[in-house]
Amino acid sequence: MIRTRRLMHRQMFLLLAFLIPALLFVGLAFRPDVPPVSKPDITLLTKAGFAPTLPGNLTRIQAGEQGFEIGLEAKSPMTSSLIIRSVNPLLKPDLLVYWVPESIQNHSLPEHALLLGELMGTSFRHMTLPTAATTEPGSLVIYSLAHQEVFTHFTLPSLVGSEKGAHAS
Amino acid sequence: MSVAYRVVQWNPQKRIYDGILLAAVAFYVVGFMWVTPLFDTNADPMNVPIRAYGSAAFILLTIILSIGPLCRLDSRFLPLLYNRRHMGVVTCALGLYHGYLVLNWYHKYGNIDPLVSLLASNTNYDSFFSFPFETLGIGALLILIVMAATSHDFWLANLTAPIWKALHMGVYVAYTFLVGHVVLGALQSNTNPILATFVVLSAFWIVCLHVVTAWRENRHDQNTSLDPEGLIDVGPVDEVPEHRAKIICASGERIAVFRYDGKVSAISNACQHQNGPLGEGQVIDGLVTCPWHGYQYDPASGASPPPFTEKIPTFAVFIRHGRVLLDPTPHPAGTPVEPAIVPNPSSTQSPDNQEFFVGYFPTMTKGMSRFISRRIAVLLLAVVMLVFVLPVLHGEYHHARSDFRDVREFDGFLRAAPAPHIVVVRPGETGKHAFSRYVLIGRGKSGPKIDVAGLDGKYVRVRGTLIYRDGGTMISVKGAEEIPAPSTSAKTEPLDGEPLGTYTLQGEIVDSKCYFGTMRPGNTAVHRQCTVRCIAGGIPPVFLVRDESGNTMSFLLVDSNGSTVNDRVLSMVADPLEIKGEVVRLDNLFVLKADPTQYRRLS
Repeated sequence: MIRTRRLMHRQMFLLLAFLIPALLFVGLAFRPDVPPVSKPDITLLTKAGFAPTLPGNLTRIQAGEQGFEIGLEAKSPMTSSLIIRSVNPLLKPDLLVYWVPESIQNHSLPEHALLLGELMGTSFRHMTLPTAATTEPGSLVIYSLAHQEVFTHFTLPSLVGSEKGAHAS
Repeated sequence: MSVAYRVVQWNPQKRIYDGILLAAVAFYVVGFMWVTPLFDTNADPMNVPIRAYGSAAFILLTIILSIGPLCRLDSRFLPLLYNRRHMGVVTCALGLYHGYLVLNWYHKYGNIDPLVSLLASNTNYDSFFSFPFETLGIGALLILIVMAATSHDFWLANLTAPIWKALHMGVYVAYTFLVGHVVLGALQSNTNPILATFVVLSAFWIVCLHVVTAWRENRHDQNTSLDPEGLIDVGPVDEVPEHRAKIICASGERIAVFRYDGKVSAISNACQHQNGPLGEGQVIDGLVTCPWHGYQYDPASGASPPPFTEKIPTFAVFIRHGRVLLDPTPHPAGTPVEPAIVPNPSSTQSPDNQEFFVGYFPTMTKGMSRFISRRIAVLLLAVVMLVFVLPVLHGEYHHARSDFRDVREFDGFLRAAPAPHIVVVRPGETGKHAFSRYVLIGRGKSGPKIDVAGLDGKYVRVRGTLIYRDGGTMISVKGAEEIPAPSTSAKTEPLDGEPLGTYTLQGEIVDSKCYFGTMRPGNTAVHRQCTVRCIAGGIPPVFLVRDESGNTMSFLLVDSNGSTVNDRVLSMVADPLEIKGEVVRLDNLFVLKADPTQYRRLS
C-alpha cells in the first residue's frame, strides 16, 4: 500500500484497539439482567399456587416423555397438601391436576373428579388435597383442557407410610 | 491481468480456493442447522438458520481480516490473499441472507412494512444497552455490499488503487459494527460465558494482529537520508538479493531496488493494481512480479509487458564503489531508465531460496504447499469443531409450542377485557377457579380479526390454533361465531376477578404471542423489535417475573383503569423494569394494573 493508506490503517487500528475492547468490556461486564422478584412479593407467588417450601421426600413419576415429581404433606389429621411439578417443560397445553378417590380404569376424566390446580412450567405447585385423601390416597389425573384429553393418571402414594408405589399408567 | 473485461478470470487455483471456501461455508451452515436440534429439541426452526448464517458471516469476516496481516508477517500465507475478494463476496452474501431471514421472521406480518419496521421499531439511540443493534448490522452489511459490488478489477481500475483501497478499508468499520451488533444483540440475550469468550478472543486476535503488523510496517517507513548530491545510499550491491529487491523509504514512499541478471533497477514499490508490495515480489522471466496477484512490470521501464498497460514510476540508480545509489526523484510512470550494471557479475550471490507463488502459477513449491495445506487443514478442523460447539453455546431455546397446523374449536364466553380472551369451563368439581382463559390473537403480529366488541359476553365457538408455554395458553384465531350457551352450566364466571393486592415487581415486557410459543427465544434484547411490532399490532403485552427458584409468572399489562397499554409500553419492552401495581387473578390469568408512566427502568 502507499504510505497514506498505511497511515490510515495504523490510525484506524490505534482507535479500534481501544474502541473494540471497550465495547466488549462494557457490553459484557455491565450486561443488564432482570432481577428476581424481591422477598416481600414472594407472597404473590404463594397466592398464585407456587409452593413456598418443599417436602423432604419427592417421588418421581414418569409418564411417557413427561416426568413429574410429587410430594405429600399431612398438615393435620384432616388436611393434607400435594406438591407437584413437571420435571421437564409441559408438553400439553393447559394441564389441570384432578384428584379422584378411586383408580382410573379408562382414559377419561370422571365427572366427579376434583380440580386441585394447574401446572405451570417446571415450577413446584402447591395444591390442597381433599379430606378424603387422608384415608384413601386415590389417583391424580393430569388433564389437558385445551386438548380435552387425559394426559396421564397415576395412583397417589399413601399419606401414611412409604411414598413408594406411585406409578403412571 | 486483463485487457478485456471478464467477470472472473478463472484458473485452477481460484477454482480450488473457491471450492474449499464454498464447501466449508456450506458444511458450517448445514452442519449448524443439523446439529442444533440434536442438542436442543426446542430449537426454533426459523431462528436456527438466522444464527447459522449470521455466525458464518462473522467467522468468515474474522478469517478475511486475518489474512492481510498474516501475509505481512509470513509471505507463505500469500496464496490465501490471492482470492480473498471471493471470500468477501461470500461474507456479504451470508450477511444478506441473514438479514433477509431476520426481516422475514421478526418483521414480516406486522402493521408496517418490514423494512420500515427494521428501522423504526427501536429508536433508543440514546441508550447503550437498548441501542438498536440491528442498525449496526445494517451498517456493516451496507459496507460489505459496497465492497462486494466494487470488488471487481473493473472498479479497481476505474477508481484507482488508492481510492479503491481507502474504500475497502471500510471493512474495519464494518467489523467494528459487527462486533457491536453481536455484543449488543446476541450476547445480551445469550449469557453463555464460553460464547462471549469466543467473540472476545476473535476480536482480540484481529486487533492484536493488525496493531502488531502496523507497528512493524511503521518501522520500515523511516526515511533514508540523502548524500550531498541528493542521492540515497541504498547499501552494498551484494545486499540486494538476486531477482529480489531491497526496499527503501524516500519522501514517505517506498521504492523497490531490484537486482537481476547483473543489473540493478529501481521502481515504485506500489503495484498499480492494488498497490501491492512489488519489492516483496520476484523477478520472473525478466519481469518484476507482484506477490499479491502476479501483475508484472519491466524493472527498467516500470511498464507491464504488452498487451497490458499498467505503468509505475521508475527511479535512476547508480553503482559506485560497490554501493547502490538512488536518485529519489521519480520518473513519470512507465519511463525507461537505464539499469545500473553490476561491475563484477561473477561475484553475485545465488538467487535466494525464499518461496514465491502467485495464484496463476501452475504449481506451488512443495514447502509452500505443505505450509498452506496444513493451515487450511487446521482451519477446516476448526470449522468442524465450531459446527458442534457453537450450536450448543447458542442454545437457550425454550420449550414453547405453536400448533399452527392443528386447527381446533373452543367453546366459551368471549371477553374483550383485559385482553380479548375466551373463558372455557373446566370439567369436574372445580371450586373457586372454574375456568381456563385463553387469550385470543390474530394471524401474524396482530390481535384477533373478529368482532370482539360485538361478541363480548356472548357464548362463542372459536376456531384456531393453540400457542402454549409453561401453563400459559393462547389461541391464534381463524374465526369465531356465536352459538347457544349450554343451559346446564352451574358455574358462574367471576367478571371482576380476585384482587391479590398491590405488589412491586421486577421483570421484562414481552409480547405474549412470541413468548408463549411462536418464537424461541421470544424475549430479551435480541427479540426487542419483534416485541415492539407485535405489541403495536395488538398482541397483549405481558410482564414476565421470576423468583430466585426460577418460578416464572406472567401478568397481562393494563393501566389502572383496566385499559390496554400497548401503545404506551413500546419504548420499554425487553428492558429490566420495575412496576408497582394491583394484581388481579382471573382464574389462570394474572393481570397487573399500573399506569405506564409509573414504570421504572432498572438500568
